Amino acid sequence: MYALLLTLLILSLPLLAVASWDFSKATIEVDEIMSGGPPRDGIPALTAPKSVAATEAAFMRDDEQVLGVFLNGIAVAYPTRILSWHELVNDDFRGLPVLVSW
Amino acid sequence: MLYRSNVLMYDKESESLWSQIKGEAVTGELTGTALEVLPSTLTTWKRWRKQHPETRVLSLDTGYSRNYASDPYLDYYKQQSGFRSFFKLGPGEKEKELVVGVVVDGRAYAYSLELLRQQGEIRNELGGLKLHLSLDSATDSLRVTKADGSQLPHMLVYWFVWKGIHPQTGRYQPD
Repeated sequence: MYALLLTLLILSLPLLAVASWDFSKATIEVDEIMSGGPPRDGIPALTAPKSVAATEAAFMRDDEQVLGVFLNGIAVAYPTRILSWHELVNDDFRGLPVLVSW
Repeated sequence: MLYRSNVLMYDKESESLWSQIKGEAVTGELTGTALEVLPSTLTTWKRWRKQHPETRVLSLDTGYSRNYASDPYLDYYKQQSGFRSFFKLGPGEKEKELVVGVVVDGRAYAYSLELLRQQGEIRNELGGLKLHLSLDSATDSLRVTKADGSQLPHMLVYWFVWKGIHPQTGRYQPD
């Protein structure tokens, strides 16, 4: 119980940081928006992602989890061990802008 | 930032906030602007590479210094409870079970991934649409198809997150 309270307390502290956003036209309940912990850009999006060919990906393990995307004839695997640190990747599939959101 | 346990994103031009699960801007100048949901597959590297031998893979050279050796959420994936829940579970429901979420005519609906995995396919009529869900056990490829063969966009998401964002969601119950 104390652990739970402590967690809720920690979660509520960064709520102050939430107030700096523009909440005009909101279609969700603004008072239910809360900080997840990290500050703005504390989880940095990858906006210029690099990729390597499967044959060069010696760092990959067979059983590890990936989010696979196949669009416009291009296949890209996004390992979740990288996605979890960035959550967002702005990528490009032959001119098609794609946001990978994890 | 989070809205009912689900991440909010922002765009650098307008600084509107975007809901991941709703797939649209929910505050600021771009409010109401929708993103198109594209198909993706959650699977293992081995299975993905087998199906797409020509695949590329996101590089570890991200420009950031992080410990990419293992996924920091491995424990979170396995644990039973969610980050923070906003509703009472119904009978037999689990917060962290993965569901296939679809929206038809503004109505949200969810199908248990485990049930789909067991059955391989689910046929269901939803809002006048005849839907066919299929999961290929060899590739983890998940498809939601309408009667005319076209694809219906879907999301693979934790039940407590889907229900938090879509409180009125229906849920498929097998006969």
